[in-house]
Amino acid sequence: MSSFAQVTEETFDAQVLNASTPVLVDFYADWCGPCRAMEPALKDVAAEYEGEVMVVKLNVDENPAVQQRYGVMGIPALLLFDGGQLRERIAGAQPRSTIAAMIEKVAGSRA
Amino acid sequence: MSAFGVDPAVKAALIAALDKGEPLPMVEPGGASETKLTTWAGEVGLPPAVVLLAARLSPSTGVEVDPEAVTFVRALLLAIEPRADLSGVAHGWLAWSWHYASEPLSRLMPSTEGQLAGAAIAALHACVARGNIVGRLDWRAARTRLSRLAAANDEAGRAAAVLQAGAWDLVRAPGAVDDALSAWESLYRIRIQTADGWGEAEDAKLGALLGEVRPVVRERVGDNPGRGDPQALTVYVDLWRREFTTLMEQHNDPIWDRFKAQQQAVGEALSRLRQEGREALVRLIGETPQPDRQSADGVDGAASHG
Repeated sequence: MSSFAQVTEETFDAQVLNASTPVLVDFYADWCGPCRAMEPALKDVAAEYEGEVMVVKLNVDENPAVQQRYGVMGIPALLLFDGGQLRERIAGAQPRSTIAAMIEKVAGSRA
Repeated sequence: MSAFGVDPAVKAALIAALDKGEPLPMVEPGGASETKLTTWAGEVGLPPAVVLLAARLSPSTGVEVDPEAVTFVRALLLAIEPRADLSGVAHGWLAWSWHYASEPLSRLMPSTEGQLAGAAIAALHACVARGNIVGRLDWRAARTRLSRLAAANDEAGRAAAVLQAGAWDLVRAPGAVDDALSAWESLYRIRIQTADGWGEAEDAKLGALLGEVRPVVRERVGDNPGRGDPQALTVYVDLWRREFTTLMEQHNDPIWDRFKAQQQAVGEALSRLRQEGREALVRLIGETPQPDRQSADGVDGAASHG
């Protein structure tokens, strides 16, 4: 089972848009094999950027409004928010280095 | 730093299990999931990165255990010196891929920038393979240095992506070896597509065909079950292949013959890489310095050294 914090339609603004650090949101579903396959990579990236970026998960089956709001057409999808804005997005299961590069891009522009 | 060392009794038990035909996770048909492999590695005292590398280098298609995979894993286990610290072996393998593979990655990144960035990463891997520690910020800087190169969708770019994917502390992030091997598949695909003159128009046709197959497969067997359920994965992959082939034949477009030939060529290139990679991994394990007999046997140092 995932060890990441879960966000919902109700908590999305507070936990993601109003967060003081960048937040990486993993849009997933329990039935999605590639989502499960990406979980270890996500854990490693979360550990690598602990304290710099928060990684959370959003179940699209339970929170369709957020999925629709950001036009997420397929899962898994990773959306990176910073300062209340969507800064980067990437679709499909990704390797660690690609997720890390996405974070570095946003973190680099922050510095 | 974690020191991984296989207990002699565990080594003997694993070889006996293989000989009895028990499917260890490393030879699981379809490939066991990363979580299953790393958990099992911890239970038997092997570095997770070595187990993942061995599993992904093993031939593991179909629903039966591949005898070639068993032969390889048996050789790998036999090469392990009990209690030797194997935590640098996977790093050594990645350094090998830059310097010593029959087609080393260093040859695929000819630009000065590529040579310098790639050599820097290979040096970090070699450093850990020798038993030293590389900090995570050094790995991070090395990956970042490759970002521009790895964004290019050509052979040099894909080679950079292989290096970048593996540039992690493999004790903290063992799955990075899996990422590196997947990136290698992408490298071969780009090479073969480029040689065939496969471009955007062909990609668009392929995308459209995949779009036709996806809902048919989903309706019959659901979504991709992922690794960990070989039976379900085989059913899923077989149905994809069948539906895809049927549609290709219906469309009767010459590009599908080219696509089939490309698929076969990628498979053959991967097969050669895996074969060579297996041999290198067994060799690297065999070359791991033997553990100090004092710590291995628990005997008094003065007595054992006379």
